[in-house]
This record gives sequence, structure tokens and C-alpha cells, in this order.
Amino acid sequence: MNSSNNKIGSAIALALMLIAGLLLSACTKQSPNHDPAALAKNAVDQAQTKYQASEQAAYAWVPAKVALTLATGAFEAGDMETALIEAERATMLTEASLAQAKVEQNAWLERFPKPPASTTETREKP
Amino acid sequence: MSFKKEPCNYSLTNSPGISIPALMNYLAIACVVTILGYTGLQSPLAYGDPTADRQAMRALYQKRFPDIPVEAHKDGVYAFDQDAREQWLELEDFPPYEIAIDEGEELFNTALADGASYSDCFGDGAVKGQYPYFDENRSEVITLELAINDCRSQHDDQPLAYNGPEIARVAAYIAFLSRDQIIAVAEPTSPAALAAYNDGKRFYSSRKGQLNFACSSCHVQLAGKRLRSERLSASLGHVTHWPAYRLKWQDVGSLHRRFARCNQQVRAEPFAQQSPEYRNLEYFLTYIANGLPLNGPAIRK
Ligand code: HEC
Repeated sequence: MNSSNNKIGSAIALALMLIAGLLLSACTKQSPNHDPAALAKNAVDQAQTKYQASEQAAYAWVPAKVALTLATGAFEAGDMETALIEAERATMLTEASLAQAKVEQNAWLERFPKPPASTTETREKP
Repeated sequence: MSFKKEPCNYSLTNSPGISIPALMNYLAIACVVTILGYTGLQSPLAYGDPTADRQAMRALYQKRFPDIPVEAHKDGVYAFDQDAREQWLELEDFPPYEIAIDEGEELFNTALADGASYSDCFGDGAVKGQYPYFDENRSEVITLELAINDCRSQHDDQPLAYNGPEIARVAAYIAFLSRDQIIAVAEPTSPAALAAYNDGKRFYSSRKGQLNFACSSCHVQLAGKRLRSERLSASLGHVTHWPAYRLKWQDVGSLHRRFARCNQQVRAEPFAQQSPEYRNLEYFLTYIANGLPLNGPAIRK
């Protein structure tokens, strides 16, 4: 009884180890999280989407575009490390520009000069 | 033709030459301006009362420059910068934009594709005072440059590139013929015209770019002050003298080209010349400048 239980236990342990090994190798070799090209592509795509949003909001920043151009250029040239760094820089800058767009939605109106308390000029409207 | 400007004297102060602003100084000033922005000039306005806006802007500059008549801002920084003004008046003795006016005149009188000419659209050419205006049918702001290209397409001709040299020359000739016309943009009253006006007003007052400056940060809060070695002009006179010959450009260029430069200075992506954004901005600034005389083309650094 005991020896057959031990055998089953060993078989299960072996199977688990095999599965774990397979999973581990799948994660390290095939997962995009560890593939420099896939990581860079992901980052460049994300930066591009964000930058487009900032353009649409009319709040695009020059340095964000510069970083994005460097990122896509590096990606095309196969320099994944630079592509990743520049794409992340572009994303960060673009997030700041989108935050600016959000603040400015209301802030601008407060900034506009208010009319003088006593207006000497007669109004032009009838 | 005589291209000379009438010299006139106001209360003036000194200023040295101009250099390209450096990033770090801008950043420092951005902080100062941010603080200024939150401490002064506050109080929300009802959205879209152009008359009140115009009065507010005039009053603000009158207070800031008590010795200078509001109309004097047509000369930009040279309204309050004695040294720079003298150099500028010397340049005006032999104005470098003269050639552009002559070339513009030639282009103006050249037949378009169907044999018509610009005069079929613009009569004698002294029409700058009519622009920009809000076209209710098209529901957009029509600037002189847009009208020049409309005229070309009406006569089966190709539109000119807005960033090219030709359109600036035609506009320079028209501006020259229109000197001394008084800016009189009709008050925007329809919802569509008000929307365009408010869009320009919002653009003018919104902080943009990595350096977080609005047009008003420099041209209202800091007007008359120095940004590095450059003195900052008042927005009231921003639209009177275009196209201008900029020594930096070594050519005449449009108001929108200048807008783009000011956007880029604060690390904001500029818009295309004649984009709706810049046309609405021009519409707002020109309405604010109602009552000032046109004095283009002019020389600027
Ligand atoms: C960082 C400061 C800064 C900001 C922000 C800025 N400008 Fe300027 N601008 C300048 C400087 C410097 C000059 C050159 C000196 C002068 O004429 O004021 C100038 C010149 C100009 C001129 C030409 C003036 C003339 O007499 O020919 C116009 C028009 C103008 N700016 C419009 C704008 C508009 C519109 C905006 C907002 C989109 C803007 N500026 C934002 C700094 C700024």
C-alpha cells in the first residue's frame, strides 16, 4: 500500500516538475515580456497612440515628438534598447502634455484679463 | 513709392539686442509665470463677450504702459524700446521688404489660369482691412491668405503653398496698399462666429508646450519686460503689420509663421499656417485690435 502510494506521489511530483519546467521555458523564451523586440514594439505603439491623442487635443509637445521619432528610428534600425528608452520617454512626456490639456480646459478662462471695474468706453453693441 | 514710416515718439526705455532664449532660463521663467498666473489677473469672464474682452485688454495695456497711446502698439516692441526703435527706424529708411512689395505687385497683376487676375477678386488691392472676417455660410474664419487662394481656385488656378514665398509677396503688396486702414472686425454675434472667436481666445490664454506658457504669459503678464534679452510686445499690435520682414527669416513671412515660432519656443508643436486653430487665433487677436491702423509690411528682428 505504502510503496504504491509513494510511486503515485513520485509520478505526480515528476509531472508537476515537468509542467513547471515547460511553463518556465515558455515564459522565458516565448513570452513577449522578455523579448526585447516585442517589448520595444509594445512601447513604441503605446507612445504613438498617446502622442496621437495629444495631437488631437491640440496639446502636442515638441520633445515628445522628438523622442517618438528617435524611438521609431531606433526600432527600425534594430536598436531595441534605445527604442524602448525613447518610447518610454515619449510616453511620459505625452502623459504630461495630456495632463496639461486637462488642467487648461478650465484654467485658461480664469487667466483671461477681466474688464475694468469702471468702463469709460461706450459699448459698441446697440 | 515711398515705403518710409512716420517716426513718432512716445515715452521710451532702453533695450539691448536679442538672442535666442535658452531652455533653462525659460524653465525658470515658466515657474515665475505660473506663480504670476495664479496671483494676478484672475476672475472668470463670461464665455464670449468680445466687447468686454477688448475693453479689458485695452485697459490692461493702458495701465501697463501709461505713457503710450494704445494705437502705438502697432509698432510692437518699438513702441516702448528707444534704442531698438532708433535702429528700427534706420532700417525703415531702406526697407528690405521693398523688393517683396514690388514682386507682389507683379504677381498681383499676372493673369491667373483663366485669364482673370487678382483684381477681379480684390479690386484695387487695398483690402487688407476687410480680413479676417467670419463667413457665416462657410462657418469659418476667412483670412487674406485664404481669400487669395480662394481667388486662385475661382479662376482655375492652383492654390499657393501657405508657407511659400509667393503668397507672402502678394499679401505684402496688398498690405502696403492697405496701410492706414483702421482695423474694424465686426463683432462676432452668431453662435458660430462666437465659437470661432472663443476658440481663438482660448488658444491665446491656454498654457502649451513643455515650458507651460500661454501667449498671454509672455504678451500680457510679461509685456514690456525682458525675456532674456528680448523685450516682449503687447498683443494689441500683433496683427497690424503682416506680412513682416524678419531679419531672422531674411524674408517676408506671415503672421501664422510667427505664431508657429512662438509655439515652438515653448516646445509646443505648432499648427499649420491657415489651420483653423491659427485662423481663429488671428480672428480673436484682430478683433481685440479694432481701432488700430494697419502698417504692414514692417521690419522685425
Ligand atoms: C515664451 C514667451 C512667448 C510666448 C509664450 C509667446 N510669444 Fe510671441 N513673441 C515672443 C518674443 C520673444 C517675441 C519677439 C519680441 C516681440 O515682438 O514681442 C514674440 C513676438 C510675437 C509676435 C510678433 C510681434 C511683432 O511686433 O511683430 C506675435 C504676433 C506673437 N509673438 C504672437 C504670439 C502668440 C499668438 C502666442 C501664443 C500662441 C505667443 N506669441 C506666445 C515670446 C513669446
